[in-house]
Amino acid sequence: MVRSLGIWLLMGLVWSAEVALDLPDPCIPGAVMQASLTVTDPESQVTKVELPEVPGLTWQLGRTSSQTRVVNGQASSSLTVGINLRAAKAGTLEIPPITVRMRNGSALSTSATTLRVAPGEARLTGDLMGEVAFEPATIVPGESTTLTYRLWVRRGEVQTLGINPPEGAISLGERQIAKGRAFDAQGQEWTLLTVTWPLTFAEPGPRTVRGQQEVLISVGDGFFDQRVTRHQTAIAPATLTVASLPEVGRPADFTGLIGPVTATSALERERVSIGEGVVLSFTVSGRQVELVKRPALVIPGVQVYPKDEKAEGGHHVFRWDLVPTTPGNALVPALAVPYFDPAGKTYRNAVTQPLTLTILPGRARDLGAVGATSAEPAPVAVAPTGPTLPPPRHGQVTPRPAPWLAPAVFVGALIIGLAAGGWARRGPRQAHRGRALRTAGKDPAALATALLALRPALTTEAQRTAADRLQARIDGTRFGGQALGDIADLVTTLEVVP
Amino acid sequence: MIRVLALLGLLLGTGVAEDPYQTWAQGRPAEALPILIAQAGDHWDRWQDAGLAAAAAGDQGRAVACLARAMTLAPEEADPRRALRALGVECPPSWHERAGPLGLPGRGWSGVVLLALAGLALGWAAVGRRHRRSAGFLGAALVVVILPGQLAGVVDGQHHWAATVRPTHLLDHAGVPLAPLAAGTLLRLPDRAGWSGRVVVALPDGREGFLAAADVNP
Repeated sequence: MVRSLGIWLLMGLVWSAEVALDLPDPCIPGAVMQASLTVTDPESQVTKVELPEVPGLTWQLGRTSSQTRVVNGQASSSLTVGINLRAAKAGTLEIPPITVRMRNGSALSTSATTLRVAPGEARLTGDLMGEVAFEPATIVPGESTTLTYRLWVRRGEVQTLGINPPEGAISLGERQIAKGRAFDAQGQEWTLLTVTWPLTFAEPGPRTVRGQQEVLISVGDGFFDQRVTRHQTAIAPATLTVASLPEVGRPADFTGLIGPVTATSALERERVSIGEGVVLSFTVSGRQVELVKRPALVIPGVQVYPKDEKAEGGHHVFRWDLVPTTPGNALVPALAVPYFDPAGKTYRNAVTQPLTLTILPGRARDLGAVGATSAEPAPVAVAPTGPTLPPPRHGQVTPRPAPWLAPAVFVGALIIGLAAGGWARRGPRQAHRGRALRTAGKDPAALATALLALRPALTTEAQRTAADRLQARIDGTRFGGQALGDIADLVTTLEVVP
Repeated sequence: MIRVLALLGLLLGTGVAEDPYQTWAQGRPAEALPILIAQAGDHWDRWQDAGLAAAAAGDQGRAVACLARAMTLAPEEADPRRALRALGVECPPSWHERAGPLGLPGRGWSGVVLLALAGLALGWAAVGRRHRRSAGFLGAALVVVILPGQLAGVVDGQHHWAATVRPTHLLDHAGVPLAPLAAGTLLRLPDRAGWSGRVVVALPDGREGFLAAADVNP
């Protein structure tokens, strides 16, 4: 028991160490290339690396470097042994396992692998090269394409990309950046950056992408002689053609859906009783499926009530409540959704399979009481189903007041109220005393009354004199029997008194 | 366009103009619809009848668009909103609905009459010689009673409603489609000018965009 546990522990220790061989791909024939052998977490010092003989390949060990990393408190070390190799001619070479001997007597081996020997990319010259392309280069509106920007950098640093999607592009996902390596004809290693954007466009027409790529290169010999230079390279433009959807063969109910599209339908249950509802689901899967409209559904012998619909995650689900009214088998027809197939450049239909709904006569039995059968079910009170459409008005409505009428009426009434209140505060106007004298005419009693009311308001000597003379005339008439005579002048003088 | 054709049809008619309600009652609401729309003008009740005719004809888009027009012209009326909800359109409650019975005195002609009385009472209370306190109290009480209905009318009157008459797409300022819209989608029209035959609309979820003017015109 202890011995087997020890063996397992030893195997665990051995297995914690790993060795991996990293070969250049491709290996340029005739060029000296770099490979590396990395031992991770060696339990003991490496004493020997045995490079096997491979026909057509010359290789020898190079410089060694080690590294220790601590991640989340866990330390790991690695030893990297450089290998210089040169392949004689193009082809594929079988590389047998490489053995690494450890000081403690253990050994690690790599797996057998192959080495592809092929010419490097002759077009990689200078320090920077880029190309951009649309894949595919011709689409229809709504169809997806990928804008791919490949950038080879021999030396230097790229800070910003010189290519971006053209104006009007609709993004279908996140930009992806991948890093790799390539080799030129001389065997020099280049860094390959591949940037992709999934796009589509809503309107037909050509779209061109062009630009310049800048790379920063440090030049200078010594530490204090370093300076950064900028190098720019023009990127050859790429054109995407967004062709119009063909008019010929376009279905009348086409909603702009671009394939591939699938459609399925399913019943909640396949056997129901009359009057018992069942839900039918119709699912359309694909891209932009939110464009799909609810199809018309007619099933003889079944009342169909549209239910809810939901579109998310590339699926659009429509549901109906089906309530059968007659027993038998009801056929739920196949439902179709038209879409444009960009591969075949034609319109197609995503069609479901027809379904059969078996309708049993009578309502479902109440099995609550064993042995008892339910009598004629009591009518169920129908709950109110919600708001109903109002009846037409036929023009018979009370005219509505204009919006400005209410505030105008309020202001007008306020003014009237103020005026009324002000008039009430001032009191009734007194009669014009002078005119009352005129109105009295030749009536001595009325003249005496009017003159009496007038006296307190006399202001001038002439008015007072006229009042005295008139009073004398009136007294003479009333008490002396004399004629009143002409009093016009006197009345004229006094009638101006308010 | 429908209105022009309908009016042209009326002008070129050989005899008595056909009563659209009669046509509707005869089971031909689709034929009555263009005439009802042409005759609607600024009458909310005629737009509501046009919406009901469109609903009877199965044209959900035009039904909702006509009822939205009725709702804009008469925000205090409950019938257009009730009809929209009966058609399955989610319609936000108006301030008249929120005010409930509190808003009734301040609505319509009763609001006008009560405002007149309030104005008289307050004017008297300001400068009258007697019964000023009573008049002031009466005027203030009338204002308090009328205020909910009047305020609801002002707030509801600021919203202008429309709906898509056919399936279409919400566009951004550059004409790029943003989202599909089914026929009969209720929209709010912000008070901003559109361009190039497009109008600014706001969706129920708050998103704004542009639509072709023909897509919201019943």
